[in-house]
Amino acid sequence: MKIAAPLSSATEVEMLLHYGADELYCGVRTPEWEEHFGGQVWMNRRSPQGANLGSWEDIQQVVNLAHRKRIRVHVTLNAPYYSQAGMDYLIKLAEKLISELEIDGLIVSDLNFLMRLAGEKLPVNLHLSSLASCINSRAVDFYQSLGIKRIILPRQLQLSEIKSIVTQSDSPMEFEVFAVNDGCFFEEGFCQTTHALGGPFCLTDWEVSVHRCDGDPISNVQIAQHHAELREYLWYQNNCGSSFQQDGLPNGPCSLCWFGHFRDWGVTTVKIVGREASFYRKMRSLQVVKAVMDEVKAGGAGEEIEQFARSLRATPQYCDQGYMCYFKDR
Amino acid sequence: MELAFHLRDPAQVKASNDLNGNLSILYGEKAVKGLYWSERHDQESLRLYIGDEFCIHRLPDPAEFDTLCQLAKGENRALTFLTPPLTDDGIDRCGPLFDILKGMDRRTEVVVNDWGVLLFLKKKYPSFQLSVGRLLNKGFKDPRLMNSDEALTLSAETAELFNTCTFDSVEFPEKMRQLNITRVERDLLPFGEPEIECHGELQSSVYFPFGYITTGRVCWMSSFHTVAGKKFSISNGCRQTCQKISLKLNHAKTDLQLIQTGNTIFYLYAPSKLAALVKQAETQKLRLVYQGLIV
Repeated sequence: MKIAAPLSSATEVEMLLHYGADELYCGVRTPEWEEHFGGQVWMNRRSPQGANLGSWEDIQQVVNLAHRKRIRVHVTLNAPYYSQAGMDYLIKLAEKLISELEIDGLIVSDLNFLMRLAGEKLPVNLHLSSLASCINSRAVDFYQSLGIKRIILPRQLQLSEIKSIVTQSDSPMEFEVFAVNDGCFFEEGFCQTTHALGGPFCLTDWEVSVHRCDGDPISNVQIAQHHAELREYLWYQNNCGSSFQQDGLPNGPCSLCWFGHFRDWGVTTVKIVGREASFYRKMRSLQVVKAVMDEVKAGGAGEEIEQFARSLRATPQYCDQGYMCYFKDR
Repeated sequence: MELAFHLRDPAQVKASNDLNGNLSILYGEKAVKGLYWSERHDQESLRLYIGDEFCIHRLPDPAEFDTLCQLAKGENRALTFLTPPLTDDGIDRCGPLFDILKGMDRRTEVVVNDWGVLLFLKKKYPSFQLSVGRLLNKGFKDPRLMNSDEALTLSAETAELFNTCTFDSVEFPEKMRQLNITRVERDLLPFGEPEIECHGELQSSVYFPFGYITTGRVCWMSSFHTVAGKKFSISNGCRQTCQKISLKLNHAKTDLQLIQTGNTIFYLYAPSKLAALVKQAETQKLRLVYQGLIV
């Protein structure tokens, strides 16, 4: 299994390679896109300023540094939907990224954009973003027929469901699974909102009241209590308030305990989330993932990996609370 | 125009006979009086939708499903079965429902909201007529954009984005032709024009009076009676609290009326959008699917 690490600046590349990233992924922003679409329509899922490389030279530098170490660079063009004008522009951008900068892969979500890319037969690997919400093994065949080489599985899956998708696939499809950071309350592939309008929709402070109640009455006090618990859950999903353990390792949702199973099932890559995270958080996230990955590569059994991963968590009470895991069966 | 009603249980079939009464509760009598309903939507065209697009826990069990199928048969109404995105296990669990549906007449349809489910049904049940559901139709629906006036101040490219969705792209109808799909399901975009674009041979079903904004397998409502630490998990069972309760969501950032039912948040169409949709349905032979009984 490989580790895919995020970056948003060329200055992060050496650190990521030094600490064991096997692949890099990034997004780009361009003045042409911003001129045409403004700040409310993002080219990919993350903020143009906070999570994306902003100059051609930066991208070139990232690719050069990575390729020198034979590390692949994948670029996200994974907004859930592009208009016709958006796709026209992005096809040209993709051609340029591939022919001039020699990026290795594109991470995409929009079905029409994927079909157009496939039609162009560009010399690049196409990866399916988690935003495409591939949640069963039959969908793997559908996306393979469109030229997808790797599927990034979404967060809202149980362990048994990941196993089913990965092990039932007869195709040579690669599978990537979330490793650490940034949960999501809704299924991002079916969420038609944007973080561009003041942050995630689920973190907006909605005033909630009863619209219809046909059974036992439900009071606004009960709703408020449940909503307080939701806020606590979202705090965990939001990297425990973007906090760190005392030893510097990052708090937040993860699947570290299950790496041994992922290896045994045939998962290709684990993904560190957070292109917009700080240099420090990226580094510490990679260190914790690499530590567990080393145990996986040493051949430890699934239960041993789980124990080891738990031992790295200096905040076991967070794990015990029940809101830290991406994937669970119980 | 063809009119259809989405039902959860057989008792709701009576309510489906009083569409204006149902709409009046949401919009007020005055707004509903202005709607132009064709005289020609007779019994023959009153199709029933059953099942659910958003959550496997809201699908009927085989006995309930059979009852709904028999109801449609008894009333000589065509039937459409809505399916949500399904995992491998979910597809297996729906097997008995698909088997029951196999015995229904050829007007029967299945709406798929998952490309894997589509491939599965094409292979295992090749006689089914399939329609592609609105969860596979992506577009811009964030209610925090405030209002459509704000959208008008944006660039032409951005306006195009607010007005179009996956099903409107030129690539899409050709892919549907290859898959032998002739119908798609959709709703209105909150910041776009109310007109539905028609593409090639593809027919459209448009849901009203609600569009959906967001959904997911983690459910606020199914967690309502669960103990702390076990809430907001997709591996818990479901007590179907959503059958009895729905919520309103308010915020200064939006002037849309937002309603949460189960795991999904919907918005109510503005009266002017609904009126324009009803008018267009008549001239362009759209199917309108009333979902006011289930949200």
